[in-house]
Amino acid sequence: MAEEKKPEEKPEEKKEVKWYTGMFSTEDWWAFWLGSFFVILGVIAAFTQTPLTGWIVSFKTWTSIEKSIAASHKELMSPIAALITSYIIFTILTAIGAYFMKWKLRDYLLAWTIIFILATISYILGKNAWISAPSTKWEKYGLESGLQLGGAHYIFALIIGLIIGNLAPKKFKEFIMKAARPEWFIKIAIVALGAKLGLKAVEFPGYATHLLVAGACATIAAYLLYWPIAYYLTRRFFGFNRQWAACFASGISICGVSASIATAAATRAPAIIPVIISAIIVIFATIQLIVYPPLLTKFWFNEPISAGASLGLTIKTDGADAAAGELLDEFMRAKAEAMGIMWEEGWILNAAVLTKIWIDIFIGIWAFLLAVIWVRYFERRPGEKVPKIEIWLRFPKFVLGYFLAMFLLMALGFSGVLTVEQLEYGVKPVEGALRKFFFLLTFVCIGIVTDFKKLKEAGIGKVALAYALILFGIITPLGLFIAWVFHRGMTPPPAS
Amino acid sequence: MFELIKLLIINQTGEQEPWDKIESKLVLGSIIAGIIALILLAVVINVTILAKY
Repeated sequence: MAEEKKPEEKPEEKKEVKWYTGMFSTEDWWAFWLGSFFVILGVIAAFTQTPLTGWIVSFKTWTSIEKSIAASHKELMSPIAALITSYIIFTILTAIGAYFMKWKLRDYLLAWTIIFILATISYILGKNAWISAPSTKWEKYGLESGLQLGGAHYIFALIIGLIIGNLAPKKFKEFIMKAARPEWFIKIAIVALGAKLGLKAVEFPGYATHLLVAGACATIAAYLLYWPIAYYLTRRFFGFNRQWAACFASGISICGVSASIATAAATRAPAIIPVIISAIIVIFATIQLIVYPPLLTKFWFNEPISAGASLGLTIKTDGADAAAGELLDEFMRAKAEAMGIMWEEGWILNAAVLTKIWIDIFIGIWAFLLAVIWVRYFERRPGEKVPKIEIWLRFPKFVLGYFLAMFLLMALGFSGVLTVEQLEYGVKPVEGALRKFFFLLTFVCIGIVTDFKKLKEAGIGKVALAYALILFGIITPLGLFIAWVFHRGMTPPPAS
Repeated sequence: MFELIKLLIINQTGEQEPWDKIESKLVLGSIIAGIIALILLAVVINVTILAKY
């Protein structure tokens, strides 16, 4: 999850921290600020019925390339103008974040521009009708055949990223890494996804509540089972020491990178432990992102929401989880559409993201508990107390944006202040076009930061073996089971 | 096979520490709590929410 805290930082270092620490210097907070800004802009547009969000570029299924892009509000500007405006506004806003996070602005801007162009090319290519249109729409596009690869744009983006991450010259790769921030981009998209869930909740109030409650229950069960099982196996079977086992168990069972770092801090483990575990987590999450959505679509099509929730329970980075959820949503709906079943977009994705978000929420509490256990039982530091502010500091702040967006839209919709149509006018470009474009950016960036050679470095292949065995042998089957127990029988509402 | 894997990993993951009784209690406690939570929550969710689907 959160990678705003670099693994190179020594977890044992103590710093003076306040509740607002990091508010303008971490990716997590900047995802909250930018995501919330876009959602609020959408809400203002809904109130005033002015096209404040109409400039956001939207990518369409196409047979002639000039129809591949459009402004979200077509009457506002030409497609090219929308693309350029989107580039300028996204660039300015993310550059403000980059400036406050003290990144090298010039490098960021150049690398960001390349990533933006790559994402745009992937999006346009993948949305070609022959590649992506389901058979039910061939007639509409004048086709007699096609590949029916719903979500192909994400696959293209990932492949382009992986090529750069693994085959590009070292200098170019180092340069483009300056803006390859998959966790940041996905968190901005997830805040926008909160707006989508809020909007859908107004349309389908019972369904959204069910998904929220079921996701929370699945998370509680998973936390209490995953962690102790992973800890026990690594300690007893693989011979890890306590600090290794704790960081490993948190990484593989909770929320990947940030949980591993938080646990290292809580248990005062050497910095090298979360560094090695983080590298493994990122690589395996990418493998899961590639493998799980097609497998789930093929073998678990009758349980689409369970399948979505299982991603949240088994994929250990927010970026890969949400990306896999988006892919699964596309794959499942494309398969359903080919069978004449029309499902509302986004519910499978929301199941994947919601379970992951519940897991993220509990990181702070879990790290706090581990710190208390370590102080009290293993390190026996008499008189030392663990400050409760640790819970807040470990809390993923972008989650606040997600819930803020969701509850704001629900409040406006349920109270009757705005109708669904009015809300859609302002917010749809944010929860639709903008969110999907940031997903695309995430796919390119995940590919760039995934370096398979890292598995060979420093002998971490040995730890990776333990990770693979537990991930595929324990976490995944248990995740599938828990997801099924709490979501069985649920399917997305019919498309309106 | 498993012994070989174990030997390979030990070098990477610090010196072995003896298994403490408190670890048994914590792990067992968490697993039991997890199973109870799983069953109870599953019953509640299946009787209420999932019964509608």
